[in-house]
Amino acid sequence: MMIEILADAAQIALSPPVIVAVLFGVVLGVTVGAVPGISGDMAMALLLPFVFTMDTAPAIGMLMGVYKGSLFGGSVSAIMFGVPGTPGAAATILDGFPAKKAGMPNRALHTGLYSSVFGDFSAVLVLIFIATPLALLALKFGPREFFALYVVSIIVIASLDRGRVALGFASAAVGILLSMVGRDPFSGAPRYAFGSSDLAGGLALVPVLIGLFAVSEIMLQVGRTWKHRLQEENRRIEEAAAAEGYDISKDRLSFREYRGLWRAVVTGAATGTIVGALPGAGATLAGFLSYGLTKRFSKQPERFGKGALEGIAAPEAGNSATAGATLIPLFAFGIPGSGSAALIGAAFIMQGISPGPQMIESNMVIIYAVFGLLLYGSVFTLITSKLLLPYYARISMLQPRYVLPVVLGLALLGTYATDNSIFDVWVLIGAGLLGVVMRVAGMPIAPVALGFILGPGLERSLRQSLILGFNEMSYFFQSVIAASIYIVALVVLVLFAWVTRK
Amino acid sequence: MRLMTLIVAVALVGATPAAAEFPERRPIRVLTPYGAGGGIDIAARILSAVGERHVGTRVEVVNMPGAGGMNAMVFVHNAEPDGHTLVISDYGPLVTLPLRERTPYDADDWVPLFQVTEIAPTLVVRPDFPDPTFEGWRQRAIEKQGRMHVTHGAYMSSSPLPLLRLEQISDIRTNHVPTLGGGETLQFLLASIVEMAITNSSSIASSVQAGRVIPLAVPTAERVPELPDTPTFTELGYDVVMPVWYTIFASAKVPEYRREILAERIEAAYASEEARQMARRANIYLRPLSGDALHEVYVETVQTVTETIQALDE
Repeated sequence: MMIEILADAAQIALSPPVIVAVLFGVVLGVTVGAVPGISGDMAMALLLPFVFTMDTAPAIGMLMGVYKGSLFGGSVSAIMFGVPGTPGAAATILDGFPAKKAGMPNRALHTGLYSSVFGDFSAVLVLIFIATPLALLALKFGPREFFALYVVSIIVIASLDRGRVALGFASAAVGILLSMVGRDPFSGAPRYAFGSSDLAGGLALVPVLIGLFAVSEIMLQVGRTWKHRLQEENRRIEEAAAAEGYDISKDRLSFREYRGLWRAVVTGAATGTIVGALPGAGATLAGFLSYGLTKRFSKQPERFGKGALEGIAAPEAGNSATAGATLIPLFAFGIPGSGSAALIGAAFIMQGISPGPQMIESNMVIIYAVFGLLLYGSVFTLITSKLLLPYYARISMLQPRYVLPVVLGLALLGTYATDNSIFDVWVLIGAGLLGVVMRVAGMPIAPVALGFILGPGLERSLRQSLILGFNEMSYFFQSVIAASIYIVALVVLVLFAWVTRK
Repeated sequence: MRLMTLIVAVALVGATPAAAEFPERRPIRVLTPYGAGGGIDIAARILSAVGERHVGTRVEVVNMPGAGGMNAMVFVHNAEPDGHTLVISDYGPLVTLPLRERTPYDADDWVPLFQVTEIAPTLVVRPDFPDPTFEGWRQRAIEKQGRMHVTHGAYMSSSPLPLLRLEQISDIRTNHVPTLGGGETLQFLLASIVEMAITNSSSIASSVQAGRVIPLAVPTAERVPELPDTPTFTELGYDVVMPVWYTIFASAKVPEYRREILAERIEAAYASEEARQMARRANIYLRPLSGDALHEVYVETVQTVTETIQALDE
C-alpha cells in the first residue's frame, strides 16, 4: 500500500512537466531573489493566476521553486552590494558584504549557496519525518510564548554589536516605533498618521528595508562623490586595481575550508527549521537568530562582521531552512506561518486541497509527490546557482557607480510595482535618508530592520497577553514554554558574559 | 429581402449605440481591498479566468490592500465611472469603514452587481467543551461573568460583529481577544488559549468533519450548506443576521444600463461550468444573487451594521 503510494508519487514528481516547472521556479526565484526590491513573495503572487490552470504538482513545484530559489538569491545581492535581495537575507549582509570587500566574493557566494542548500534540504527532511510532532509544539505557542520569543530575539540581536549595545537597543526602538505607524491592528484606528490616509496605511516592509540598506548607501556614495571628489578618485583607482588584480582562481572555496564551517551550518539549519515552524516568525528572524547564536558560540567571534564565512553560512542555512519548515504548521493545521506560506496555502486551496488536519491523509499521493519535488528542488538550486555564481562573482567587482544606479532603478521599480503605490516610493526615499543619518551617527542598521519586522508581532502578543491575563503581569510567566525561553536566554547571556570575562 | 435585412440591421445598430460600445476592448479591472491569496481574491480570480468569454473583454484582478481597505475603495470611487473599474469586497470597507472614519464615500455610493458567495462567521468550540451546544455555551458564558475568553478577527471586522450584536441583545458577556485573522483564531482555539472562536464557515469545514471543532451557531438567514446541522441564531431565538458576502460593486455614478450589462454578464460567467468547477476545487460555495434580491440584502446589511456600531459607541 505505502509502496504503491510512493511509486505513484514518484511518477508524478518525476514527470517532465513537473521537473520543468520546478526548474523554471528555481531559476526565476534565484533571479528575483538577487534583484533588490523584488521578493520571492512578489513573484509568487504574480504567478498565482496561473495556478488555476495548472495541475497540482507542477503548480506547487513552481511556487516552491521560486520560494527556495529566492531565499538563496537574496544572499547574492546581500554579498555583492550589501543590499538584501529579499528581507530574509538581511542578516547575510553583516559578514557577506565585508567578505566581498575583502576580495573573496566567490568564496562568500559559495559558502552561502552550500549553506542554503543544506538548510533547505535538511528542513524538508524534517518536514517529511516529523511534521506533525513539531507542529504540535508550534501550536502550543500562544501570545505570551510569542512575546517571550520576540523579546529574547530583540535582546539577542540588539546586543550583537559589542561596544555598541546601547546604540543597538536605540536602533531596535526606532524600528519598533516605525512599525507602529499605521492602523492599530485590533481597533483599526489610525496611529501617527497626522491626517494622512497614506500614513494610516502604515509603512510597507519592502521600501523600508530597501531604503535603509540600499538607498542610504547609494545616497552616501553620491554624497561622497560630490564632496570628496578627490578621495573618491583615489578609491576608484584602488578599486580598479582590485578589480584587475582579482583572480578568481585564488578565491575558491575548498572542501576543507567549508567543512570547518559545519558548526555554523548545522546551527543555522536547526534554528531555521524551528523558527520556520513557528507561525509568524520567518526567514528574516531565522537569519538574524542563526547569525547571533553562531557568533555567540563561535571560537572566533571577533572575526564576525569582518567577512567571516561562518557569518554567511549560519544565516543562509537559517533562512533557507524556513522554506520547508514553514510548511509544517500549514500541512498539519492549515496555519500559514508566513506570507510565502499563505501564498502556497492559497495555491493548494485553488487546487481543491484544503490545508489542515486531513490534508496529508486524504491527499497522500500528491503530498508525497510534493515532498519529492521539494527534495530535488534543492538540487536544482545547487546546480543552476553553481553554474551562475562565477558570473555573479565577476559582476560584483564592477564599479559601484555603474551598479548602484541600476540597483536604485530596480529598487524604485520593484517598490512601486509591489503595491502600485507612489507613497511607497516616498517611504523608500525617507527610509534612505534615515539610513544616512544613522550611518553617519554610527548607529547599526540591522536592529532597525529587526525592530520593524518584529514590532507588530511584539505589540500583538503583548496586547493579547494582557487581555488574556486580565492585565496581571504574572500571566506572562505562568507558561512553561515562556518561562523556559526566558530562563534559557538568561542562562545564555550570563554564560556568555562569564566566558568573555575569562 | 436582402435589402430589408440590411435596413433592419442598420436600424438595430443605430437604436442601441450605447449597448454596442460597452464594454470597450480595454480590460475591466476588479479591485480587491485585500492581498493576494485570500477568499475574496480567489473568488475574483475565477471571474478573471473565465471572464473574457462572457463579459466581452478581459477581466483583471488588482489587489490593493492598505488603509483598512480604503485605498482600493477610494481608487474605484475616483475612477472614471465608465464601468471598467469595479471592486469586489465584503462589507467592511464599504459599510463599516465609513461609519468609523471620515471617508470620501459612504455606503450609498455603491451599487451591488453580483454576489459571488455568502460566508457565515461561525461560533465554534473544541469537542472537550463541557456541553458543546449553543445553550451549554451560553450558560457557561453567563456563569463566568465576562471572564470567558473568546477570539475572532480585529475588533471592527466582520467576525466579531455578530457576537457584539448578540451581546447587545442578550445577557451574554465575554472577554474578546482579537487576532489578525482566521489562521490565528483557529490556533488559539485548538491550543486551548480560548474557549470559543468565531471564524469563517468555509475555512473550518474540514476541521468540523475531522471532529476537531464543533460549530454552535451561524448568523445567516438560513442554514449554510457546508454546515447543514448547525442552527442559525434566528432559530435559537436571537435576531442576529450578519452574514459576510463577497459581492462585486460598481460606483453609483456608473450609468444604469452599463451596470445592468455588467451584472448580467458577470452572472453568466459565474454560472458557466468552468467557473463552477473552479469554485468547487477552491471550496467556494457559489451563492449567486443579483437584482432586487441582492439590493435588499445590501440595504439590510447596511442597516444592521449601522445599528450595531452605533450601539457600541453609546
